[in-house]
Amino acid sequence: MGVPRDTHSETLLRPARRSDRLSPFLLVYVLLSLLVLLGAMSTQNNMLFWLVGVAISSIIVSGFIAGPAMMGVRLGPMAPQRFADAGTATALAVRIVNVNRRRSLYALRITAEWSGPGGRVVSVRAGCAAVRAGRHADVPLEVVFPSRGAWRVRTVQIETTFPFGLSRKLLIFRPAGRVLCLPAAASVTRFSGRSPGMVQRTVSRAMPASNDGELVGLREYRPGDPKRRIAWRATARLGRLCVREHEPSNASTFWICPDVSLAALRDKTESAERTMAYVRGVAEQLERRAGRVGVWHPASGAASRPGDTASWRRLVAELGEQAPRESAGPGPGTSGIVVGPEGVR
Amino acid sequence: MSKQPPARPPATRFAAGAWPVLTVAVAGLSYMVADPGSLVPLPAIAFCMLGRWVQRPPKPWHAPDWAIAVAVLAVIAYAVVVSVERGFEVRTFAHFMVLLAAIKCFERRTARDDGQLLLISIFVILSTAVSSSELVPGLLTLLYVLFVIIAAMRVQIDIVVPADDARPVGVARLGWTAYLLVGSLGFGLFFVLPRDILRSEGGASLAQAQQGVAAFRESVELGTGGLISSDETLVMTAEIVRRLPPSRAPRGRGGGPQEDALGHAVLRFRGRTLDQYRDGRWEPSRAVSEAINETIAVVGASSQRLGLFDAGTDDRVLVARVEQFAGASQGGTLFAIQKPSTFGAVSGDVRLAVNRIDRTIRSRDQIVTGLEYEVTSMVRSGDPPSFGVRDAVAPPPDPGYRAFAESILLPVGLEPDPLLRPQADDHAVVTLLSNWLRINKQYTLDIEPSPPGADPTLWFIRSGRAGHCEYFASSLALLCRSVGIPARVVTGYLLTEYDPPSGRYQIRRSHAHAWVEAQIGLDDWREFDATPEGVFAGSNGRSVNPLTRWLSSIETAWLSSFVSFDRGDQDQIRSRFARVFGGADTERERESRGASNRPRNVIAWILIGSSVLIGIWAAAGLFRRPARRGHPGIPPEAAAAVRELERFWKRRGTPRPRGSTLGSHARSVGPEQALAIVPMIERVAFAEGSPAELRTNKWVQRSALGEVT
Repeated sequence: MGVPRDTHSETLLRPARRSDRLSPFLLVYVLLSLLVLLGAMSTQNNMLFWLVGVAISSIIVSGFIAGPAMMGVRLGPMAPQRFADAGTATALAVRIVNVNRRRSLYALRITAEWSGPGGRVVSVRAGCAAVRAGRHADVPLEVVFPSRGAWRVRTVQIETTFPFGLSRKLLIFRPAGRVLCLPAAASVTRFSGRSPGMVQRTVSRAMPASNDGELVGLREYRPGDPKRRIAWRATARLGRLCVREHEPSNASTFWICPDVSLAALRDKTESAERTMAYVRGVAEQLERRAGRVGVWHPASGAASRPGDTASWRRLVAELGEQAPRESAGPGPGTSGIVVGPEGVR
Repeated sequence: MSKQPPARPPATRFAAGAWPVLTVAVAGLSYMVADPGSLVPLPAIAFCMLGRWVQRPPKPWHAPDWAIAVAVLAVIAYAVVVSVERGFEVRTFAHFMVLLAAIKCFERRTARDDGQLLLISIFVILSTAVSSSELVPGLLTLLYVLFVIIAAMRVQIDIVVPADDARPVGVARLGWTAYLLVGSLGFGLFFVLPRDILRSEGGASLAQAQQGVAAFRESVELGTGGLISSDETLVMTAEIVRRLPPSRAPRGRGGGPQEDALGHAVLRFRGRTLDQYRDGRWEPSRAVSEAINETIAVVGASSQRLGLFDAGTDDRVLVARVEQFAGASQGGTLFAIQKPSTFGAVSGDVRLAVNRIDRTIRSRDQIVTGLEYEVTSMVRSGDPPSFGVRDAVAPPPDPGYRAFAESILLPVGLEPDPLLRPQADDHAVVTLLSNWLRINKQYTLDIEPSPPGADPTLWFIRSGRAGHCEYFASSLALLCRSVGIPARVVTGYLLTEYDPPSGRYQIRRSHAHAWVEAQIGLDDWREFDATPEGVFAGSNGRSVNPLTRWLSSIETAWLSSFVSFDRGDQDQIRSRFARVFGGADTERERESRGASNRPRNVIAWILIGSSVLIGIWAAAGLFRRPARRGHPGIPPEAAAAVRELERFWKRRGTPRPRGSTLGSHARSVGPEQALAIVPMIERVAFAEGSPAELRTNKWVQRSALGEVT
């Protein structure tokens, strides 16, 4: 929703810049038209005069059709924060809103640029055939972010050469969305030094027997709730699935500590990135086992909120650029595991 | 068991690629009509369609690259060879382009290829425009503009979204709108584009050449196609605006306009006279062609007396208003019915030249687009002497003519020798010779070649069975000369097609004709036509079916208002505008008045310009007005929740700064409820969540009531 106020809408983004550029075809077209004009004047051929008239009016009508239509282009809300996997295609979308009353938009070419860690830029293109008047269209973008980190949308350019390919009308938007790019999850069963069974046992031993805090009440079952939280008696009494709701307990959280220096994370060294890939792999594995997971980086003091998936994912993505301290980290008596570039220690 | 409706076929490459091919097809057809002898576009169009057809899904096929390269080289070689052999011709260029389009259609299709096809079609349509200004190519060009507009729109869409990936997007309506705008603006520009600058003789020749070979010629060569033409292209229209005195018009005589069975006068538009004969070829003598041509004046709208003839009491005065289109004549020949006495140019000024020997008029300027003029003619019924003695004309070199003439005249008692024959018998002699030819020879358009080395005219008289008007005219003229009567061949047009709704004669290329003028008495040159009557069987309004008449009217309108549009018409339009705003009537008038009217005209043009600009501004404003105030991009529930959040933060004194996201602001200033609502808004905005959860959210409802502070 990171959009400045708009005249008509709080959520729609106006273009930061507009520009009209001449297409190379226009040069050919104008030269050809001039030749025809010379021919018409020399021969007094009225068919040629009329074709010259049509050629000139095509340029005028082209601007008349495309110009007002492009005045009504707004950028819809972009996902403020989204997670993506580094190195794999991520499906994103740009919402193009046509606030025109009558003019539809056609043949839009969208170019979105993201800037990421280390000043790297990723650019992706997509096309949109039409956006009817007063409607919007979500244009899918397949983006491959090359590395872990926070990728911010730098610009979204919308251009069109419609209707005749004579001029290029360009709108540049500067939306405020970002994508948090996680490293590709490394499998904890695949690192040297320990057998897979040993790793599994290590992780299992490290898991607390119960990760529930104080019981605060019952609530209706939601998809994804662990089965062991189902309150069977209440379910039987009420006739619908109910689960117990517990106060989050810091002590019941399983903490993962990446053993990597802040400098290495900033420099995105290979070992640091591999460590973060293991962190993600371990965290996801533990979460699947219904564990409450937190990530804590002692060197920077960054810590995710215990049991908050989005929080630890944010931390894994951004560690090194920012030091998000969303909680105090592990307290006394908590269990944890240290993950290094070679895997779980 | 219900039957499932058939699935809508997806947009395919074939369907998307049809528009450029159609555009090329219309351009090619238009060229074929403009250049009837050209048949190459037809197979090329068929190949274009085939090329796109074989690329249809599910198993598209396209020619391998090497085959395309070979074909392109072959077409280039063809164009080079033909150009070297015949010189550069528009036809070769057009053929090259349509063949190139046919090859391109067999290439693996991309949107860029479609764009190139459109460019090729533009070149083909330019070839059409250079080749012909006739009605049908013109209408096809109008159709072409519509097709190319829609095709260009489709290509732009295909460039950004491949046709296979996209749902069909209808642009036909917008295409029509654009077509109307482009067409009307194009016509507007057509009317105001400056004429008469950069005009060159070469250009005029080109303009004349584009009309094809005119049926009317300034010379006659027997044994060639000559005046024969089956081309029905309209070259002139003529209206007899005055005919005095109507009751005294001579009927059915050789000396005056004949009349057909329906009572319409078979008038002749006299163009050039040919008085020198050699080996089957008639052309103007040196004296006629060089000596007397003089520019008498620049004649404008007011009729000017030519100083050739004065109307006698028995003269029949015909005033004809003629609209002569490009291609009607060669060398600027203007047409009049018999003897022109006054001339006035309706459209623009004409530098007029008068030939006092053969009594013809011509324009010193090339008639490039057309010319409208009014000419008064004297059709003499009596024989008052008007110039000097009888002209001396060389008798035919071959004595066979005289022998043949004697064989016709002597049996009826007419003296062939001019010294022994009374002058009063001259008319009878010419009429008898004319009738003999008309009765004994047949009219045909098929040329029967004369034996090599033989005089074609004498061969026709002696042993030919049929010929066309040139043979009859040549035979009569030479037979007349053989018996001492000066005679010459005249080329021009017959006025046989009368169009009652318009009240005008339609004169086409096929109406070109040759006849004879013989000097009867001392100095009265009269018309004689030995061609059998069948040649006069033109349409006269009753025999023409309504469709033909309707098409003829359209053709006339096209030629008179479009093809022949020129500087004079522009001045008329300007003067109408100027008259509305109180300015000068015409350019000439404006020049004569000097700068006195300039301020008023400037004001007028400022007013017109302002009106146009205001109209454009209003139209643009109409288009720019947004659909509604609100959030067209997201559901209203999400928009309402955003508004509530904004208001809430404002009430608390922590408004969201420009550029910060809802989420980050909620995290920084709270409260917890806002932090919980933001993901909800996002879900709803991105169509992942139900708007109901926002609508029923207690915090949003309470905030809306101002209960939350």
